[in-house]
Amino acid sequence: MSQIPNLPRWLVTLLTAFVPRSMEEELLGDLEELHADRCKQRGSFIANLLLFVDMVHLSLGFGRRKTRARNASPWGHYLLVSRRNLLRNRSYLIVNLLGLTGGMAVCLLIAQYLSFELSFDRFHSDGPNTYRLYSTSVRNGQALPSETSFTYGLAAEASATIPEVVSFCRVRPVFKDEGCIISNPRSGAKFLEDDKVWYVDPTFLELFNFPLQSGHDPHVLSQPNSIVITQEAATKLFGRDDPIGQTLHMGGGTITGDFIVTGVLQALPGHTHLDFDYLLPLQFLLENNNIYVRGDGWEWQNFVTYVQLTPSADLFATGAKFEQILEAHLDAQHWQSNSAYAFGFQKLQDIHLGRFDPNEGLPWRLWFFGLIAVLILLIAWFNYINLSTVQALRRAKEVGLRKTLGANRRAITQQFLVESWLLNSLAAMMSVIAAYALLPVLHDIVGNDMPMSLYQDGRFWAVLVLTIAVGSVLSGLYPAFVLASLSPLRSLQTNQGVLTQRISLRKVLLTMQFLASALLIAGTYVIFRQVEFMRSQVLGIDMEQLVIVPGPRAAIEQGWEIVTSQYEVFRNEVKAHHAISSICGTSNVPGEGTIFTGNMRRLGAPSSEDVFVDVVLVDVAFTDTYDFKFIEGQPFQPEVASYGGVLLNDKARQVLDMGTPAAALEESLVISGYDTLPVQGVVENVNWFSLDQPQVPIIYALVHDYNSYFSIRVSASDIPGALAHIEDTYRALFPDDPYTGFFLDEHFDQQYRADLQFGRLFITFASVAVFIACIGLFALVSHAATVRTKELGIRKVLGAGLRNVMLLISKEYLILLGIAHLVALPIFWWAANTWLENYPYRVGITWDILLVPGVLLTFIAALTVLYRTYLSANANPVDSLRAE
Amino acid sequence: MKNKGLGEFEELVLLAVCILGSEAYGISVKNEVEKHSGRSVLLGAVHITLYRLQDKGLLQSELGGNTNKRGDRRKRLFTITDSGMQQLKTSRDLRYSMWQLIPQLKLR
Repeated sequence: MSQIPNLPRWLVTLLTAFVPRSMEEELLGDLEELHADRCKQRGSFIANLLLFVDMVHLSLGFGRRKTRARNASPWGHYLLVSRRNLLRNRSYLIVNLLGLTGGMAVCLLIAQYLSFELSFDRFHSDGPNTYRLYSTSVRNGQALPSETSFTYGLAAEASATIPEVVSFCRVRPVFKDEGCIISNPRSGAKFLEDDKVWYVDPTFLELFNFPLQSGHDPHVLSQPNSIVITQEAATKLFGRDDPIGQTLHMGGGTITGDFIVTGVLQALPGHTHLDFDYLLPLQFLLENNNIYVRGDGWEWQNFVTYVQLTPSADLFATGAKFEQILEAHLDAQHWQSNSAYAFGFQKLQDIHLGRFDPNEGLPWRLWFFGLIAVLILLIAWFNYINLSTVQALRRAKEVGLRKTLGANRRAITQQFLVESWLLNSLAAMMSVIAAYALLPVLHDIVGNDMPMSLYQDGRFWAVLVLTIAVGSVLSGLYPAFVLASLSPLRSLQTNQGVLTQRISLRKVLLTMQFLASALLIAGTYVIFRQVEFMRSQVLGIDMEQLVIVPGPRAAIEQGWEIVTSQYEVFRNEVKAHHAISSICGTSNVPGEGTIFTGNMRRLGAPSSEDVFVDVVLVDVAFTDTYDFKFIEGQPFQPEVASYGGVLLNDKARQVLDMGTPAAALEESLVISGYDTLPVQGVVENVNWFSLDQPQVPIIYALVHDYNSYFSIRVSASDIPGALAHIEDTYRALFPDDPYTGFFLDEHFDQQYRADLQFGRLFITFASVAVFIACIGLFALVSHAATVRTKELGIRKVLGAGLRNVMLLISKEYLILLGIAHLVALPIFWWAANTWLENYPYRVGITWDILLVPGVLLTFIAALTVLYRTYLSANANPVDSLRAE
Repeated sequence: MKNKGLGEFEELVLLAVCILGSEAYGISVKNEVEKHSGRSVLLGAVHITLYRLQDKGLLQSELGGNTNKRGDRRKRLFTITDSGMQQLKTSRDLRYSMWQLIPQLKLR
C-alpha cells in the first residue's frame, strides 16, 4: 500500500488548542489510525472528509480551552498603578494633560466648524431634489463669476413646459431704492430693513422647511397684500402682541404698501444660506414695479430661481431644455456678448460652500482646516510620546523589579498601554469640556452662531472613542516598547535607562513638531501680508476721510420734487462746514457694486458688437470728491442735463473700441439699444470692486440728484466736528430716516473680512500648536538637564563658564530646529504659491516672508531652551555632585 | 448520590469494553459498537463517553499498546472496574425483571 499520510499539522495544532492535554495523545493516535484505515478502505477523499467531520465534532465536544493557570486579570492592577504614578509626578501629568487636551480641544472645535459648514440646508423637505439655477458665461474674454439671477418668465415657462420641474420659487430681495422701511403704524416702530425684505412666490414655504410659529399654512402668501415675518422681526415690531392680522407699512422708496401679517416663522436656524426677515408675495412686486409692468418677463434678470425636480430627472437633459427656452426668448444681443453660456443646477447644500459643480472638490479652506486639526493633534501626540518616554526612563527600577518577578515584555507593554489609555481618556474628557467652553471664542472668530451640535451626533462619540483607542495605542506603544526592552539587571543597579542614541525617535518627533509649528506660523504671516497688501493697494481712490451717508428713503415717498429740493439743501448745508471739502451724490459707492450692467456699444458700431459694461450714476461733483484722474476730458458741467453725458474708465474705452482717449471724446455711447450719450471724458481705472476681482469696464453717467449715497470728503482738520455736522443736518432734513453714515475705507475693508477671519483662525491655531510644542520642548530639555546634572556639575568645577554649559545642552535642540526650518522652506513655498493663486492681486513671496516666521519660531524655541539650560547651568555644582 | 442509571449508548460502550477485554481503546470500541448495533458512530462520541464513564468510576484506563501506524502515539486502553460490572448487572436485572411482568399474551 502507498504511504499512509500523517495527520496534517494544522489539524494537530487546532486540536491541541481545544483538547485537554491529558487526552491529546490518544486522541490524535486514534484519529490517525482511523484515517489510515479509511484511506485503505474507502479512498483518501472520503477519508479526508470524514476526518474533517470527526475533527469538528471533537473540537465542539471537548470545547474546553487548555486549562491554564487561572491568573487574576492584571488590568485592575495596571489601572491602580497608573493612577498612582500619574498622581505622583504632578508636573509631568499637568504638562502632558495640557498638551493633549489643548490639541484635542482644538481638533474638536475645528471638527465642529467643519461639520457646521457642511450641514447647511439639509433640513428642507425635498432637499436632494431642490436646486438653484445658475449660469456661467464668458464676457469680453473673461470668465465671469456664476450668475444666479434670471428673468421671472423663465421659471414660469419652464414649469409649464418641462415635465421634470415639479415646483419652483423665485426670490427677489428688495432693492435699495424700492421701499425698505418697515413700520408698525400703530406703535410707530420703524426699521430700515434693506435686503432682509424678500419678494417670493407662495411656494417658498413649501420648498424650504421653515416652520410657522403662528398663522395657517400653506396659504400664507397667497393674498397679494400678505406678509410673513420671522420671530425676531415680530418681537421688534410688535413686542408681545400677536402680529397675526395686524398691518405693517412698507415705505421709504418707490414702492410702498400696507400688508397684513398672515404668518410668523420660528427663528431661522443658523445653517441655511437663506437670510431674510420678511416675505412678501412676488405678485405685489410684479404689479407695482414699473419695469416689470412695462417690460415682459424676459427683460430683467433679477430673480433668484429655485426649482424642485423629479428624483429621476436627468440634470443634463433638463438643463438643455432650460437653455432652449432661454434661446427662444432672449434677444440676439444677449447671446452676442456672451460666448460659452452654460446652464446649471446648484445643489442646495452647495450654495453655502460656494460650490456650483458638485464634482468640484470641497472648498479648499475646509481641507485646510482639516489638515490643521490633524497637524495639531499629531503635535500633541508626539509630545506625549516624547514626554512619556522620557518620564518612563525614570521608572526603570520599577520595570526591572517587575521583570524579575516574572513579567514578560507583553505584560510590561500592557501596563504602559493602560497608562497611556488612562491619560488619553482623561485628556479627551477635559477637551470635550474645554471645547464647549471655548465655543464662544470660535463664534467670535468665525462670526457665526453655531451650537455645539457635534455633541448630539452619535457618530461623533463613536469616533471619539475610536480616536482615544487609536491614540493611546499609538502614543503608548513606543514608550512601552522602550521600557519593555530594558535589561532588568542594569536598571535595578543604576536606575539608568537606555542611553540616548544619536538619532532617536524622540529627536525625529521633536523635529516634526518644529516643522509643523514653523509651517503654521509662516502660513499666518503670509495670510496677513496678503490681506495687508490688498488693502494697501493703490486703488486709484483716496479712500481716507471719505464719509458715506446712505441717502434718505422715507423722504422719497413724498415725491421727487420735494426730495430733490431737500437734497440740494442738504448738500449746501453740509458743504458750508469748514472741515468739509466736497460732497456728491451717486447711485453706488466703491465696494457696493454698480447700479446695473447693460449692453453697450459705440455709436456707429453694429449691434453685434454690444458688450456688457457696468454703470454708476453720478453727479457733477463726483470726480472732484473722489479725486478721479482724467486721462482726457473734463468733469461734468452743471448745465448738462441728466443722462447728457458719460465718463468712461480706461478699460471701458478699450472694450468699447473707442480709439485713443482723445478720439473717444468725439464718440457717443449707445446703451441697451435706445439711449445715446456723448462721451465727456476718460478716467483712470480704479478698483470699484474688491481686489479679488480683476479690472472691470465701468461708465459713469451723469444723473443729477440720484442720491442713493452721499459721499463727503472730510478734511483732517476737524473730523469729529464735520461728522457731527453731517449727522445733525441729515437728521434735521430727513427726520424719518435713520442716520447710518460710515467711513469708506473701513467699509471697504469688510470685503476682506473672510480673509481676515481666515487669518485670525490661523493665528489662533498656530499659537496653540507652538504652545504645545514648546511645552514638550521644555519638558524634554528639563529631562536632559536633570540626567546630566552630575556631568554639568563636574564641568563647572573644571572651569566651564555659564555660556559654555548652556550652549552644550541646547546645541542639539537648536540643530533640530534648523533642520526643521530647512525642510519647512520648500513645503511652505509650494503651499503659499498655490494658495496665492486664488487672488488676482497677490503679494510676491519676498525674503521676509520666508525668514520672519523662521526667526520667530527660533526665537521662541531658543528662549525656552536657553531658559531651562540657564537654570541648570546656574545650579551650584556642589549640590549636584553631592547627591548620589 | 444514587446512581441514575446508564444511558443507552453508555451501556453499549461498557458492553463493548467487556467484550474486547484487554484490547479496548477508542477505535476498537467504536468498531465493536458499530458492528453490533449497525449504526455508524462518531469517534468523538466514543471518546467522550469513555472518559465520562471513567469519571464515574465504571472504567479505568492506562496508556499503552503498540505504536504502529499511529505516528508513535500510544493508545489508552480501558478495562471495566468492579463497580462497572456491578452497574451492568443491575441494569440487566432490571430489564429482565420488567420483561417477566409483561402478560403472556402480549409476548407473541
